[in-house]
Amino acid sequence: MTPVPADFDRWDNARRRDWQLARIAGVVAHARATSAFYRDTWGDAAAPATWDDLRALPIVTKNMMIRHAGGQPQLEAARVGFSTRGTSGNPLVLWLDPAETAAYVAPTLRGFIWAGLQPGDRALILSPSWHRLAAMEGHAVVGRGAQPCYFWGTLSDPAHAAPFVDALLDVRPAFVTSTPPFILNVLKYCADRGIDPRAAFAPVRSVVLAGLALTPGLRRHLTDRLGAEVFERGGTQEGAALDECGHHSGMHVHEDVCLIEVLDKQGNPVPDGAPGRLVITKLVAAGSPFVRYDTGDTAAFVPGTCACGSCLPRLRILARPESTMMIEGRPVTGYAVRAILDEDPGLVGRVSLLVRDTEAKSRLRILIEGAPGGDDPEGVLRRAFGLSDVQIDWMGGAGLAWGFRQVIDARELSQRRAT
Amino acid sequence: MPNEITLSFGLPDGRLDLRAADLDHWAEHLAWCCTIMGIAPGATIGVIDFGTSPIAFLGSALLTPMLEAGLAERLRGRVICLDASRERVALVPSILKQVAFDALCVRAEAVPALITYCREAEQPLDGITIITTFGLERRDPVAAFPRGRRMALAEAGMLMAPECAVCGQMHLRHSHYDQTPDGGAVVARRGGALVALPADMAPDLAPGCPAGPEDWRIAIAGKDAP
Ligand SMILES: [Zn+2]
Repeated sequence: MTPVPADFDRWDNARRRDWQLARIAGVVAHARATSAFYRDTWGDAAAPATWDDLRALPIVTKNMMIRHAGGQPQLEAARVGFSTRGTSGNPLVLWLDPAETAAYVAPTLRGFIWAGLQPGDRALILSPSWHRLAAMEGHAVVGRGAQPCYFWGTLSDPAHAAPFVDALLDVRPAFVTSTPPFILNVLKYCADRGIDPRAAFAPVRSVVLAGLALTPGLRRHLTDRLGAEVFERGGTQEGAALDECGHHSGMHVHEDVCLIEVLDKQGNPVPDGAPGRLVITKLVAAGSPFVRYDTGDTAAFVPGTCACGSCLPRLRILARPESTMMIEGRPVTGYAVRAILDEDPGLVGRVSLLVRDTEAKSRLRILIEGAPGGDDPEGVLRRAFGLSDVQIDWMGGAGLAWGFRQVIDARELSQRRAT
Repeated sequence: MPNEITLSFGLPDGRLDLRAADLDHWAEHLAWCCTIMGIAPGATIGVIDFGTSPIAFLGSALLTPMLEAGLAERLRGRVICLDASRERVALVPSILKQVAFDALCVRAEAVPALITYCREAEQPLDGITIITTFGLERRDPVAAFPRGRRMALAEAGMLMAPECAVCGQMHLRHSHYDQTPDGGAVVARRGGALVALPADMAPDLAPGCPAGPEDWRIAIAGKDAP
């Protein structure tokens, strides 16, 4: 595979599009050679030579892949498998090989340099076994001449905030990668123990967060509490890779490794700024192939160019469809609700979930952790969404943890309360 | 410059810092452990453990920078990272439906959740070698699956002692570990901390097992998996 030129992110759109198109035939050939699913899905379609050819290929989904009888792709060089989180149904298993790792370390390093990683830094980063993107982090840190450090435990368990804080105090890193829910757990842990988070994070210059879209209020809250610059990092196990630059105006898409389309329900591109389905094509002919794969996310390109000088387009990932509810004909997303609640100093960073209640379809019902608080949040939400019926269930000390999903079924809620 | 860099892993008690050469030394040992436990070349191995456990980070060069060949490369097989949190263990039954595993390497504390979730999903574990890793501080017997193996794991001392498929005892590999004169503790010949052995785990040198004639061996108590 030809290496990506160092100035790739400064190339104009036309030059980057040509470069991407030149890669697509190889990507499609790889998918056809390794995946019975793609062979069956595409039939005799010719390898795409133009953008129209590519857009003629059908959009595929996770469930289509899982249901297909062809099994796992045949990838001789694959050495590591990851599973998606299964927040929307069954998890999908995908495979990583050396060529794919080599291709994805470069954009990871690009993003880390944007976020201020310096040679010689100690970087407290995500465990490589956590996520396919996390597996690139250690390689990128070493590529920068910095030192990778890891904390004991898992991001999935709030109790592991303790070993994370231990690692912070032991390692004194300048650079941290994590997820917003986990860092919120760390802040709770610090508050319970009387630890000043600014002291614990004192040497930290940058905190890079992936896994849950940051609302503006949450970003201000974290920046203030941590005393560090907060960067958003995005991506999917299926190959999307995005990083925010120091201008914090949306995540730049690493177009050397992925092609991102934002499409309407009919599969047509939507204008910049408009939300649509996030469809990705992995531009690396290695590992598990993903061509025109609907990630299930809703996203929007940010109009215009970024002041940082990078020509890579910027994207905001807004919601997952399973986190969207239609109430009185209006779509309400978990992100939109969080964005409003996070503006209230009494509520920012609290875990909130939408409750899907088939008995009261015109009611916006929200679960919020902790004791009742904030400044008339029901009224604020009613006005923001133009709804007449908003109900908040305060969970008190009952277990409500970020599980990366944003909607809970009312029946499941009553079961959980019963147990 | 990268060869001056060490990797720093958090452990339940303290940290473990490894250089590039240490990484491959221990990855070779982990591959040996798997071979001793009867895992064949080409195996697909699921790792239900936390990311800073050596079983996880020695899994592949793709996971860990500066590691030239991890377990997957050395066995010409594959590892799948599954994490040991309840949230992730809950996904294992549906992953087992998609991927044919030869072995699952499970941290002892995750075994009950694995059994519960697989039973709820009516997902049998037949045909899979379940390797249960356990710390030496654990005094209760470690679950033994019908086709299972056990491996003592003490991260701070990089102690990895597998249950041998030939003799049924745990091997302390002679080339990698030494014991204190009183036999009460084990230390890695390369850079490990002293690992105290429980009183009922005195290593025994004789008679030698053909799988490792010079190794010390330890008999381990067990109970059947629930
Ligand atoms: Zn920018």
